[in-house]
Amino acid sequence: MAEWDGTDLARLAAGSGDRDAAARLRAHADDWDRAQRLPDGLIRALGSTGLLAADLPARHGGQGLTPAALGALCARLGGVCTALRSAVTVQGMVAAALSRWGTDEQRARLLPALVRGERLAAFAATEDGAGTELGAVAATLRRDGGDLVLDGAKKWVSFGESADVFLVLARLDGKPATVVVEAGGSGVSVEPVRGQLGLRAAHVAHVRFDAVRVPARDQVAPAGFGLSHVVGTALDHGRFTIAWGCVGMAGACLELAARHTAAREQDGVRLSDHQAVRAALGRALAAVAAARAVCLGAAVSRQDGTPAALTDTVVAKYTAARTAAEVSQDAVQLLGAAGCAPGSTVGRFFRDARIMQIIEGAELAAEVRMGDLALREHAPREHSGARSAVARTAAVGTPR
Amino acid sequence: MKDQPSGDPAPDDVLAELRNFFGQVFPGTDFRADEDYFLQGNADSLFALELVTFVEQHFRVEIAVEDLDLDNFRTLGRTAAFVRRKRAGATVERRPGGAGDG
Repeated sequence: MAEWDGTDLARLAAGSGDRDAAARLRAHADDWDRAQRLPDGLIRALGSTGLLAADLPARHGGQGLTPAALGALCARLGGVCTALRSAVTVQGMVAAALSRWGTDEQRARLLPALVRGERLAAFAATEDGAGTELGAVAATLRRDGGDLVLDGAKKWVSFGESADVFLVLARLDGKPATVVVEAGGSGVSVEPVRGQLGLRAAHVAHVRFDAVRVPARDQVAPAGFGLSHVVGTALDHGRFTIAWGCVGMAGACLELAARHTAAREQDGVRLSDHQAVRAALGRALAAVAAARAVCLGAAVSRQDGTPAALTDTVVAKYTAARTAAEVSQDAVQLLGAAGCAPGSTVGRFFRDARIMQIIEGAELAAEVRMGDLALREHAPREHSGARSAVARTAAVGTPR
Repeated sequence: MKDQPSGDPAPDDVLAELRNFFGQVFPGTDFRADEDYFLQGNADSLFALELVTFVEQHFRVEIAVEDLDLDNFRTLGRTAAFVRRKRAGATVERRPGGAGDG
């Protein structure tokens, strides 16, 4: 496969609206999807291009990007390659958790290296028996001298194959706790996953930790706060960047469908001259605009620091993932055989979008949570007697 | 409820404003100041971060990893006391050894 061009990546990062650069990178991304890996050095190049954890404050090496600017960046990446955007998401999740809940020492040691791409992070929470319900994790930490000892088997770790460090959710004294674990250490074994439905170039791996010794200083936050605060912060950040990635993905599918249907003639009639085709493009345009608006709303509440930011982000991720799934499905339909062919870009987005409806909050769990929110806002008294099992959420309708 | 930064409410208002926030999140539930809502299973993980965000924004205090002690947050009364100590610039109780100390 031809080499990707670092200047195209820089153009994409700068957001200069260079469609040709995006199109060239998209063609490379089709190759990466087929090869089921990103080229060597690409993720680290994201760091040198300033694309990793760019929302961190300058004191931690970041650029202090606003939520809206971070979102726009993720939309541009998402419109090229979900795996590439996912690298930014994962690095950003771990960086956000450490930035928020790490000690000064942890932040100084890890954050600048994460920003520069010198160290790549992965987030290891999911297990066989703990997917949407992370409270059920069985991985354990026990104290041994001045160290902690980690045992557990984590599944579906994006970039688990290429990571230098893992942020791992386990139990210490029976309570959820998080630790940073070096990938190269004794007892860490990584089993690459290939052939999954989507996100194929994201170096997904199952990762085992067998009696892995972790210095006590690498615990992040006290036991009891690992899930609610550390993982909660990481997941919230992940939902936000995934949401924007999905906006970019849906926008790219609309662009590809419009270009294809405007160029292709059958029986002397351009596809885009069929009313049904044009209407499908119109629906996609409205859907992309709506998803972008919801994501911008979440960006505003995150900027303001209101409690509603958390639930707004759940709504944004749900909406944008659903939009990406719908628009990519329509794009496959409009491209017909070209959409189904090996190496099809819209076909890749279609497969990736389905994954986005599952990770960082499965669609059904998000719906129950949002339903809870609707009851709280519109029928608080009736709701009080019949609480849903899933969620207390806050501050819907709160004036910003 | 207004969720704007509240300027500088009198310390006595802290409990009332927290109660107001909880009233929104747990409609129809009237917690006593000493009731442990975490123990009662009312608080899920999303709520924990909502509470952090509310306290930081509304009372303009910063919650750092050193403050992560359930004793600072498990009841309305304890949360209000935490806010008052923070606002007074006092050192909030720390767990021995800080964050790394499980």
